Amino acid sequence: MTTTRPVASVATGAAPTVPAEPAARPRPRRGRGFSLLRRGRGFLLPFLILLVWQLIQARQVLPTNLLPTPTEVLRTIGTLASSGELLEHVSITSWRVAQGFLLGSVAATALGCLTGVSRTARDILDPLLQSLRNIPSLAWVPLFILWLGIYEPSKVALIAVGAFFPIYLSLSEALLNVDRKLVEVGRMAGFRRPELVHRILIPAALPEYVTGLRGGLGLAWMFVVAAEVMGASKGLGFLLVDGQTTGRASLILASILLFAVLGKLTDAVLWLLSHRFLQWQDSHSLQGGS
Amino acid sequence: MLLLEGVAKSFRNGFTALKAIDLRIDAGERVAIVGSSGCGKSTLLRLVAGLAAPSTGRVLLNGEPVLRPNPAVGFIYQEPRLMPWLRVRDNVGFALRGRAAERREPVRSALRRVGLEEYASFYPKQLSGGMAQRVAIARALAPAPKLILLDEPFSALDAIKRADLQNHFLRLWESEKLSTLLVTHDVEEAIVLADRILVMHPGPGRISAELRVELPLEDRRQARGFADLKQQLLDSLRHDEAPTLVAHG
Repeated sequence: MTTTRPVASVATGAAPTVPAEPAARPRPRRGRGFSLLRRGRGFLLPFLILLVWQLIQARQVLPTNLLPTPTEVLRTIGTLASSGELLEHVSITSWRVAQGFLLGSVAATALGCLTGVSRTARDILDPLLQSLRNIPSLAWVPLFILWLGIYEPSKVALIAVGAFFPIYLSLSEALLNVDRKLVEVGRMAGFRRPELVHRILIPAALPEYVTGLRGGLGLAWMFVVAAEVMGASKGLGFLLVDGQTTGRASLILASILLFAVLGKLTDAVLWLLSHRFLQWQDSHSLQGGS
Repeated sequence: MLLLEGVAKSFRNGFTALKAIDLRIDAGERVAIVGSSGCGKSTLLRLVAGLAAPSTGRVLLNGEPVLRPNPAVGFIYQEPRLMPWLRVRDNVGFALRGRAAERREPVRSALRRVGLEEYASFYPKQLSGGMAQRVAIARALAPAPKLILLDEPFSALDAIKRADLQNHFLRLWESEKLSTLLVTHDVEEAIVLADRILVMHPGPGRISAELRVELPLEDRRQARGFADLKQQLLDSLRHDEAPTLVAHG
């Protein structure tokens, strides 16, 4: 049904009316219980895999020294936790990831902004950065060890390189691809370049930038493994090597499991922090479609 | 108020979009330019807006050359072009300067005039197409411009919504004595929204005919003389050169 909405009179004119149209109101929110249940669906598949794995290995289908049961893996984690080793390994790996990710994302944000906004900067910097992007991560290892030594700086530098490229690429491309029609609205409003960047380009590029940050964080977790495998006495990567050299598959699987959990947790934190700024997105996932 | 003298626009590739355009719009006058796609209508609008510079000739607004976008000129586009990350009130106040408290009243007033005061806190994704276009109109009205440029502003809407909004904004602009320059390929829209209609032809774009609309403001589509004027306009669009015509209601 169409209704009319009165419009206040203007100057000398009578009150013109414009028919009100139905707005696409957001769906009513469902209960908290429903929301928790929906989010909990993500645990279902890992739980089923663990269950099947447990049932199979309880019958020792494969040698347990090669594939221990999930309960054995959890027991290994429990032992590490009770001795205090787990906290130490997790802390040191997380700290390396945090430092590398911060360094990589700050550099990527600065250079991504520069090449996304300035054609001159793009012409000068982008070809070099794009060619560096194609260098395999392990190729950096000897160079970083040579330059920065075997200790922390080389590990952090490797993680920073890993985090850098997805963030740089997503931000630079997102800024470049902002709808020129929106930019024209800004120009009509009398905005100069800094204001156009601040009020149009950056907000418009934010969704892709967040995607880049999440990708960069994921790669930071991958690169920390390479960094710790190349020479560390502490950290989850070290546990992987330790498990391999001592033939303890449960320790290797425990490390892998911890990497998965920590990666997912940090990604969830990043998503939660960014979600607040992306509520405006007209995507089906924010309207309860997923 | 607005004066174009011998304006031409050529591009680097050698294409000439406009040639020898002379146009004058007085304060409070509503002018429409009709022409087929590619005849240079939008280019002309961009020159007036200060988004592009003429190759030759001058564009003067209140006697001053237009070198860049001017706050006295509002632009309403074919599509709403709202910033999706801003709520309706922030979109409407997008071009306003000053502190938040100073922007509040112009925003509220503009939203009231388009009948969307209650939707101030909505995001664009929560609006229908017609409402989004009304927000875009409110955004153009908020800085209190003297001249509004319209680039087929209602073409994306269905016929009923389009007619409602055309009638509403015609009365609004009349009551506020706003000058408007509309470009459109819809001859009915030109007759409904303008007092004077210029016909443009391409190759390169030039004004080839001028028609005066002397129909009553209220519901022009039903006015006597509307059909004749529409036919005259269509005829002049079909022919390269047409005589100056005057339609009386």
